[in-house]
Amino acid sequence: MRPRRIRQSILITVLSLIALVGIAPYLFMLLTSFKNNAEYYKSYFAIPKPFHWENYLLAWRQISDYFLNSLIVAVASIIGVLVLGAISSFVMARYEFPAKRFLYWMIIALMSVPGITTLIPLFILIKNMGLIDHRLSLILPYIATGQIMSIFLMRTFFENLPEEVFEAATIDGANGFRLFWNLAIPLSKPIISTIAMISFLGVWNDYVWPSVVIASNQLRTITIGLAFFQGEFLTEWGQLFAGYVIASIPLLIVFAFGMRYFVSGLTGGVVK
Amino acid sequence: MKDSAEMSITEARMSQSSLPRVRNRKRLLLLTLYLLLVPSFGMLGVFGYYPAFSALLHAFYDWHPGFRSTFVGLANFEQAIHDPIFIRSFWHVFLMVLVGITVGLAVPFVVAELLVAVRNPRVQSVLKVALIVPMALPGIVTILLWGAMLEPTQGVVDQFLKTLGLPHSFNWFGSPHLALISIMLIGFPWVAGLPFLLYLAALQAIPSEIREAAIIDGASVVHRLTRIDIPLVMPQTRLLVVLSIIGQMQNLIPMLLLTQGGPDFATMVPAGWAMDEAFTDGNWGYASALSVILFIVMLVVSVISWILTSNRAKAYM
Repeated sequence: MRPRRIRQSILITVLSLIALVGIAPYLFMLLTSFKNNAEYYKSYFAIPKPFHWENYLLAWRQISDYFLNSLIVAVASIIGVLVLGAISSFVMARYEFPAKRFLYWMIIALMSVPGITTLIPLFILIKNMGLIDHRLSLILPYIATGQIMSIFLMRTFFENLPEEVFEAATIDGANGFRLFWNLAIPLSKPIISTIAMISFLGVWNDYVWPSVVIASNQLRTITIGLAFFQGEFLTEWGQLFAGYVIASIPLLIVFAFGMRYFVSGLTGGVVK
Repeated sequence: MKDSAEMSITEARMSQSSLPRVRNRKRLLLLTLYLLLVPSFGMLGVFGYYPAFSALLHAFYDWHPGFRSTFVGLANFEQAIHDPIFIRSFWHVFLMVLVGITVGLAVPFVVAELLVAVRNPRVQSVLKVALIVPMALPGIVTILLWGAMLEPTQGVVDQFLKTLGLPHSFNWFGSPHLALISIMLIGFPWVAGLPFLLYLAALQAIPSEIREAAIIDGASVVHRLTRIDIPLVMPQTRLLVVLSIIGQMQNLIPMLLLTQGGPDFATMVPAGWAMDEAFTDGNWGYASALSVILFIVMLVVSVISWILTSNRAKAYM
């Protein structure tokens, strides 16, 4: 019994150390966000004497526009992805019609085309549409590409919903719209949460595309804003790191509430 | 649908009384279904198919958007294979893929193995959350943070190494020899991520009886790993190898934020070079050709690795 207990303690210690190394940079970020530069340069690891909460106020003033821009773009994109994805998935999952398979594979095939290949022509397209430096230059492509994953996940989900429920409702006189809106959608809350989460993550983390199509300061998204913020205020580490913390909060909240959906969405069905 | 008796009766009645009306209704339904798919396909057409087609087409052009473009045949591709920076950038991405599918998969696997060996379920789930927390932070924050921590000589990593009495005072991103390694260092110890989650789920699914039986039979750890655990996670590994190749070949943000491909092109990757050619130098056609080459290489490498790992998986079965 005893050697096993010792082995377990060693195991837990090793794993804790690995976890700590992984988290340490973020703890360092949090610690630094409460310091002024003098304290920062004096010691990286010391606890700041008075906590400089004003760093957060100053950082928020700098990045609040970027933060809100990302939020607007994310919400609009998620709505688009979910609406288009749900309609197309429902049609493809519950009805038979000519060329159904072909159309489905036409959508899925686009998954294999990497974003970097379409980046340049997409930029030219957006430019010709006169949408450069407009929020739609972000929202429209996000919806178009995001719905692919949405259709991929939702179609399977709709197909696996129990047939009897739909039959019963049909006999009761429900039309296609009622089946969709009152039956399929309420049943698919988990998959909707998963898709909303993945879409939010994608928008909140994207850097390359907004760096290409957004030029004016007041339309910058959070990623572009942070990169810019770093260039502008390199000297004030506390403010800079407070900005990073603020930018991390939405994702932390999403993960805290939706980790289960996220993990099941990524792992479930992918490998079985 | 038709196994319900009521349905077939009503259907039969309807078809007897009014055949043409049923046919019309069917046609209407079909029309409605196709119309409902129009928004999705419209968006995909404009922002998906068209750009992909445009990239492929303009790879053969001296492309001047908004002006006359001339067809140049394979000239862009010929230029690409003689472009020393483009060739070099593929070498960099090759190294990144190599590290990604070895260290990037081995470390999460080993940590997942260690975690499933923890017996107390509560401790296990606390450790799991602690290990995956970095996933919940924006990638850009992680990159910028590591950029700050790897400041030359006075950054926190250097100071930490100095305290431990290890070699220090590195010019991380500034030295051509170290810059690519520094980029790969971001996110150390590389546990938090999809590989860890997939491996952990797979290992947790092994019934504990099998594990215990192996221990009772006196199977060594190595034996257990090579006979039970590694074959078991082969499907996950297959998928992760392909995802890792695709991910690494498009991994561009650290370079854009921290090195701009430098110093002296030491961290230039093909995707970054295509962007430079397009947005800095206005060589739109050449950039299209580069991105098409990148797409083809990704596709070929992914398919090859998929086939190779499938044979390995079968050999294990």
